[in-house]
Amino acid sequence: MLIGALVAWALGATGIAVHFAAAAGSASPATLTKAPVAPSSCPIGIATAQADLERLAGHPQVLASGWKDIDSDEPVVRDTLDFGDGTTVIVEQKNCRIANLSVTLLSPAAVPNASGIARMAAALGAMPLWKQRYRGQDASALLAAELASASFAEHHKQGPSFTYATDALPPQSEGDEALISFMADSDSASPFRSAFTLSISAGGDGD
Amino acid sequence: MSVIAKSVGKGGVNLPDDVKLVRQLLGKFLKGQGKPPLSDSGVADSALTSAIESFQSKVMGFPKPDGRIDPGGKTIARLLAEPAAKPAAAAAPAAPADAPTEVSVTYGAVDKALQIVSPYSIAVVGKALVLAKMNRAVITSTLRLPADQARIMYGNARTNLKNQFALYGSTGDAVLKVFEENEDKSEAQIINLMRLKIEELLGQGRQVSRHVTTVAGYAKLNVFDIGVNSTKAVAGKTFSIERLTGAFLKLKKDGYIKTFIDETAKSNRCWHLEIVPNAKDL
Repeated sequence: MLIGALVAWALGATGIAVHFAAAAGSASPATLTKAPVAPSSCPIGIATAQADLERLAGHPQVLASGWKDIDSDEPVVRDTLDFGDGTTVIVEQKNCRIANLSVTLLSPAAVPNASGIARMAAALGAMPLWKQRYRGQDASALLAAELASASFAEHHKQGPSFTYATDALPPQSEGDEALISFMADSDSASPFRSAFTLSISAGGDGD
Repeated sequence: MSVIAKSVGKGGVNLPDDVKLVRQLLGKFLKGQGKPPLSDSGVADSALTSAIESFQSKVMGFPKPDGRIDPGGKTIARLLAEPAAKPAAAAAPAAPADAPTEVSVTYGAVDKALQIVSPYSIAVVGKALVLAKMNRAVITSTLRLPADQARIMYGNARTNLKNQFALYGSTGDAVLKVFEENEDKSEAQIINLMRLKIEELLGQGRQVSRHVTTVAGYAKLNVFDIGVNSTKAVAGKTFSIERLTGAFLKLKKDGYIKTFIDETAKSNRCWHLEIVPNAKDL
């Protein structure tokens, strides 16, 4: 089941995604040609960071897609970065009354290596929410510290799939939360043997 | 309620929590006098009375110290204003010259059973009041038990589920999923399942709201809000959002407060505090 989850995650096979067709002649596998429309009640904007992400070190190919979340009707934008060497980073934004940003490193290694963490951090640093809220933070150091943390080790001992809350990003409102998720399967036939995610929710009252 | 609920010392009511707090507060004074600190006891003994009398005589200049500390009185305010003992002295806040002589921290519309903020945390707020030259603060929210949170979320989800999914981050969404997947069950069953999910997530350190925890968890980390409007109503001319915000920031920097979120400009208008009881000498 874990393998299936990893593969499904890797493919973005949520069953609810509405991918936008590739523009003719585009270098990217597909392009987000029209952003999902946010309800007028949503104060926080949402947009693909495709152009910025394509300029990152390693020049990944970036697939941008967007849809509406089936539960909340919130617009979702996902940028998938393929670095051409088996490593993929997925950045997803779901912003409305609360801003949700998640960055996932899908790695062929059982534990993400420094190169993968650097790519994940670079993608994180390119996102509008990160720039707005956490500009002074060293994303690479933060992610590496989480991998080396006692919390990570403790959860890893108990199983290959876990999520925990981290204090690494000081909250600026009562609705803020930051979570670390990890899934690993060293026996997997999936091209990805681990998935490492930082997800941030920012804003809102959280009651 | 003042920083202490009842009188402490000679002829006082001497509630154990109040006595412990006063013993802790007197520690820095005694250290300055080259004397050992008082034991961490909830009993008002002759050593405590003697230390209070000494403080009243040497620090406050009382010609006839009575050896008793009353809630909202001058002695407790002065004790709160004293910089902490070394080695923390350099980082400890010094009392402003025009600090109020009386400070008190009270509860607003908080259920009696949930009025469980520790004396230590109350004293930290008292310290902030002294720094901010304010005399009153009102606690408007403390903990929310998982069962209460489940009931609230159930009611809101019943009204508008999509809206609730939009309001929460991933932890809240996980609880709402329980509602969504069990809509065919009875209200009591759904609420119970949501409560179980909230408790399961708490086990991972994940909180639907920063106020949601168990009573045992609350004893380790006091989470509470000081309401802007409620505090303004009782603090009168001493009230200042800027000064109290500055005081909380200073106490956070000095290690008395683990997390401080300034929500004074938001809809819930409060100072949100998270304090680990006895994390640092007062």
